[in-house]
Amino acid sequence: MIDTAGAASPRTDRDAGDSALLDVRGLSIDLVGDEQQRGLVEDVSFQVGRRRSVALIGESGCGKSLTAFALLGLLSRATRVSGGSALFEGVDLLTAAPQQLARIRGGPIGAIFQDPMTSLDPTMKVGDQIAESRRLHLGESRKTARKHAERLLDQVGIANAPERARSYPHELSGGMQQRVMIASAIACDCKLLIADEPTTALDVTIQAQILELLADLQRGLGLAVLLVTHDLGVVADFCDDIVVMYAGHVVERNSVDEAFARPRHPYTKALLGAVPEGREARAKLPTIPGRVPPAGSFPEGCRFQPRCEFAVAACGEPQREVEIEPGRHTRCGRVAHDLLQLEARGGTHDESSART
Amino acid sequence: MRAVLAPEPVTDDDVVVKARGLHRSFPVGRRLPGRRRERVHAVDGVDVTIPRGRTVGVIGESGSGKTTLGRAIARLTTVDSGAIEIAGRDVAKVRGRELKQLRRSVQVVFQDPFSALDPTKTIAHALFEPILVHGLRGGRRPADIAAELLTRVGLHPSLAPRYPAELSGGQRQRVCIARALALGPEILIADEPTSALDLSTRSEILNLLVSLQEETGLSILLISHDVATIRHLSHEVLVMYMGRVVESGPAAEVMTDPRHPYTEALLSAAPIPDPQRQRLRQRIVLHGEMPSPVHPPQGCNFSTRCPLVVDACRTMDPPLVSVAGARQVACIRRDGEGRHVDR
Repeated sequence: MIDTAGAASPRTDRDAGDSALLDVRGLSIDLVGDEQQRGLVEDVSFQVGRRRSVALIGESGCGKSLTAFALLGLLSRATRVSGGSALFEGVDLLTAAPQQLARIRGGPIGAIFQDPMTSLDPTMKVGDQIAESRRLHLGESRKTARKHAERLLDQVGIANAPERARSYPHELSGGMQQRVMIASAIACDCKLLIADEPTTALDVTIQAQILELLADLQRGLGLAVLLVTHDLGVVADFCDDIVVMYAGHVVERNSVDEAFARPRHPYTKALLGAVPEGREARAKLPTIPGRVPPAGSFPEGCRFQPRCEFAVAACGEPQREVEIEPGRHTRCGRVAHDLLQLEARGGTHDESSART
Repeated sequence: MRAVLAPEPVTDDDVVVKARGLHRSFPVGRRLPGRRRERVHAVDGVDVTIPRGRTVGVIGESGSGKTTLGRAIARLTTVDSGAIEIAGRDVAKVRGRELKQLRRSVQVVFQDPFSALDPTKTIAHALFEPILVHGLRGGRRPADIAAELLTRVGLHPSLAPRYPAELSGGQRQRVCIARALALGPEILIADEPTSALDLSTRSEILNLLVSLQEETGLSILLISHDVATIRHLSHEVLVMYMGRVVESGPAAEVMTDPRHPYTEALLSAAPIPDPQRQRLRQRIVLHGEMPSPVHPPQGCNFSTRCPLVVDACRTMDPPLVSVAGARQVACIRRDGEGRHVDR
């Protein structure tokens, strides 16, 4: 099947703020216990509009998954939400009672993770796993739930669904397992899908199938998707909005198109610059010197400052997130005050011309 | 053997690795009395030529046989049939001292720098051990050797007394590369060297491999499923599918103007980090998955997923034939230039 990749989702710059499906404000997460640290994640705010797909991106150790886990109420005992709110249909996910959260999770909020094999119960037939969620959330009978499970498997593109429903997870390939995960995530009127690196473990042709499926479901069911990823290609392909995290802070919020064309934070620019696509083969690639500091040794002021090619003395002062234009936020004071204009990487995006 | 030989490079002096007709299969399933175990053909008739100082990229999805190919060339696994010559020596025949010599000239860097280093040994130890084993110390102090190797891969010599756990993923991968360089190899087999790394670290390792190759004339067999990595580093590319090479040729040509429908689908499936252009791209979404390698389909292995399939594809096993200069394609649905024939 040949399809134009981008027909997937609308990409207008409308502000998702007021009617946002998910509104996260000032989320902070601390490490508790013997090695307690404050501000593993600090003052994280972003919105996910209805039917939008939002990318949460950054290097490992920047707090992306921690943020997603906090929204699902799945933080480990070693970490604790120390502030902020996350409103989803009038409920604050960060303070909701466990029972209330259990009704939301697997109901209007579905989740899929990187490795489907560790998320699926190896002792249970996949059809029953999907049916279980409908029985719990919607109180359906075993028989009705099973029928729905088969329909869902069909919907996520599994051929021969009634038969496949009787398979155990290990009998399915990685791509099929991820489809099963998606089927169970959307089983009960899902409105928001939180996907943590859903295609990272998959081969690229299977990744393309899964992204295609997510785009179809988004169109068909009006799903909103929060996609945690470190793959800028996947972001460009699938997402409308981008939230860039660095060392526990959100450093930029923007539409995908704008961020890729004209990043509003030096870290976004650095990430975009580090990709080999569009560069001449074997040409020296820009790198980001140093590494993400571990929690507890974050520098004063801007946390990216020690690795930033544009850093000046003023970057040692605390940086606030500033909305510079509607829907575009930066945590770089120099960008906010128009002292610094960033470009993705002047005209090097054109692969065909770079290669000839 | 079904592959047609590639046009031979100028002289054999310029060729570091020459492998012809490699086959390697593994038994699968349980051993049952009175029944032969089924076998999966991981590498099924592959030729590889690595010219001196060049990078040959092997791209394919999991299960395509690319890792087994690399392991066979490093003699980390045997082959069922076929011949591998490294710098003129037949790999299968060397024994004893000569084998040790061969081990020096072929070094491997693996995907996961976390499991490739002994967590109980310091970095200096990791770097010095191969030199000690091969008796190449030559009176030098271990600390000096470690410092020199660390500097070569762009790390500070002060890391020598540290343990792997104290290093980041990128630093560890540099240590693995330094350890591979310790013995002065002619060939580096890099099996997914960037896959476990973050975006920014990936570009550091890519830069390092390019500069090492330019400085030392190292030959590299680069195994990866990552289109961007292969495109960036390789001079030549082999595209593998189910144990076979389906397309090969100069990287600049194969990666921009693929001739095999599988290569085409693979390249189009990898999204490019540019929203404007990605949206305009034609993506070929393949249906289904790679068939079971134990029971490969009749005819062309790719016929079950190929968008261009015709009846003949299901009966005829396409040979890898030369088209347009140095390129080879294994597809019956192409003309003399390797371009697709319309339906």
